[in-house]
Amino acid sequence: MSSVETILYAVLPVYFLAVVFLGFGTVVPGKKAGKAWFYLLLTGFLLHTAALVLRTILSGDVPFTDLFEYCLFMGWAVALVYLVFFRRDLPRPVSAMVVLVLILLVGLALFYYSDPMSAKMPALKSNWLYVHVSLAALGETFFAIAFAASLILLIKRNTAGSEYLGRLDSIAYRAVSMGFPIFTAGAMVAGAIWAKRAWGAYWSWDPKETMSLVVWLIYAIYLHMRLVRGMKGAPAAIVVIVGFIMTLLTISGSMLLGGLHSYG
Amino acid sequence: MQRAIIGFLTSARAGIVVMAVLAVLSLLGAIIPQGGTHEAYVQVFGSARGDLIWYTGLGDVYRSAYYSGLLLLLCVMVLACALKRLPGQVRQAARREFISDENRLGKMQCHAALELDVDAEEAALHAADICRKRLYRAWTRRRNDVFMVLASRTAFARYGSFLLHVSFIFLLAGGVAFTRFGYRSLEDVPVGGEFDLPGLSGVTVIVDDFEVVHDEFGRVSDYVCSVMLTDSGRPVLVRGISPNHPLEYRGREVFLVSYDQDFESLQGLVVSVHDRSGKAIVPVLYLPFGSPLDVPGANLVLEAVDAVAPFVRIDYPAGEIEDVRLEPETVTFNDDGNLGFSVIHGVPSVIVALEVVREPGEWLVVAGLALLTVGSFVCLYLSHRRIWFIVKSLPGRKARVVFGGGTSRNVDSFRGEFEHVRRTLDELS
Repeated sequence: MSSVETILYAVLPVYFLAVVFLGFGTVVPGKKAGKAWFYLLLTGFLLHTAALVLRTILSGDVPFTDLFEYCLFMGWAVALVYLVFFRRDLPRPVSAMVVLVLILLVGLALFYYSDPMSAKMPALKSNWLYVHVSLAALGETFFAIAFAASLILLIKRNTAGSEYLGRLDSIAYRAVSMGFPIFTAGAMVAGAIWAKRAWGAYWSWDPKETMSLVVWLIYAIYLHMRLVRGMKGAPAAIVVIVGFIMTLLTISGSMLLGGLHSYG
Repeated sequence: MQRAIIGFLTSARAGIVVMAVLAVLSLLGAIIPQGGTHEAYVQVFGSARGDLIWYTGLGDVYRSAYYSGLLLLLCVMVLACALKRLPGQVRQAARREFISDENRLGKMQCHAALELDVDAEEAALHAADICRKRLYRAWTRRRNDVFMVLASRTAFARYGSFLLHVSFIFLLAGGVAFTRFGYRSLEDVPVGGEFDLPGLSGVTVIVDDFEVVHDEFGRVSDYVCSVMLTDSGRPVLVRGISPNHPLEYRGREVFLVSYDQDFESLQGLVVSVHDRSGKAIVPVLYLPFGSPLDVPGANLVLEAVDAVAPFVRIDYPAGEIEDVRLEPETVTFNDDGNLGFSVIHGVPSVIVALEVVREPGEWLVVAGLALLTVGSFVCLYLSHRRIWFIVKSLPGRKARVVFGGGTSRNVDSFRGEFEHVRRTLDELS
């Protein structure tokens, strides 16, 4: 087992313990449980950062070139965005859901683990790689936060008060409205410009391109529903959840569907 | 009728439905392999589903009339929506409206009232200054003894959705320009070969070399195709084409798409035949593919087989047949070890696939992509915030300030800012 894999296997139980403490804090609210989950998450994040840095050193390039590296980076970005932008605002169940998404991404990374010395496709040797992949992953990170809030909204729609549900709805909207422009700039615009440079066409109807378009359309539908028609609550939450499921399928879909993005 | 059509084209609900249908069709197009034959779909998906895919056009969905029609409809709807909302956006962003009715302020997202220990003019100027320090533009007007202040920030945020929607028109126009005036052609050229650049008479691309570049660990790091470009017979450009680095010349771009070994150009193998000790008994022997040949002095018949993984087939006098795989620069022996063979010539040349693209609408696409990016950030990251103040004199050099405001987005953040303005203003009391 490589050193990066070893660190990631150590990260998983740390994140999992953070979820347990978050769950414990939900059932028995108390200061100790509150601090414990945060320190566990922070520890996991630092280990995750170490894995990312180590991978970068071993491969000699930014960790954006295959599915393993993408999941590794996106998981790290989810933790970072959560800690920087959302930690103070999110109710505990939503935080627990965010960490579960984080665990899923680390799990996917381990599933798709690749040798750091494996050859990188010459087409990936471009500065657009950094813009395209980093922004696409960052945009999807905000979608993950929106997904967590929307899923909890859907689960608690019959039991929680309207103020709590409104707060979840507002968090989901805030996350999507932050992530959508970043995703647009990274996945769609930078991707199209790079595709023109590398393959000679802005758009080739490649499966991953098309699935990104589907993700973009779903969140565009959400924003129109929310901003123009004022739709909130469960219907809006369902669209966000569908959007994130599509995002996950888009990330791993190229392994199944092939095409120009078949490397990751 | 006209009103109904405009109503449909500018309806958000209809737009959402069109986007949802496009999303579903796009997803199907990503899952179902595109460009297959009827037989292939029946074989992969079964008779009923294969027929369904074929007859509904889902096997070539992105080029189907209904998909193109829906895309066009969405663009028309986007344009109609953008134009319908533009006058309102301009009015909201540019109109410098002062409010003198306190009741109107009371109905705004945020509102407050204060009594200050300064005269009305000073209070009004102070309110404008507080807003200016928070990057608002502020204007003051006096009507009789009443001062009115209007403060506005990032008014151009109102145009975010317009920019975002208009970007689709640019992208569509770029696509149409390419379809109408552009082209894309694929040229398979062997190393040493040449081809004329389509649409430019007298311009020729000569492929000089192709190299697979390896890094220090032996991994493939790049592909470089060296070309020379001649215009009317004169060399004008010598350079390498590699992934991400196309050749650009007079509005044409030449991309390196792929490469392959040109087995088809091989007619046979040139081999040497050796004895048990490795000594060449026939130093050079040309074996055409598919034509067995008597080997002089060896009493056997040889035949060259397969260009991709070349081997010779030995037909012994006793009727036995044996295949011996050939390796370049190595003598490989038959089972008895009394005959050895080495391939001297039979390595195929490289053929490169170069794509020539002319995209006259490129600037439209680039403008569309820029507008899409700027529009989405302006639309969702910025908000047009306005605060109105009505300042009236009170007896004893005092002033009553009633103020209220609203924002196009991010109400929570605006509430915090409004509270800050209220507190700062209250320090005068």
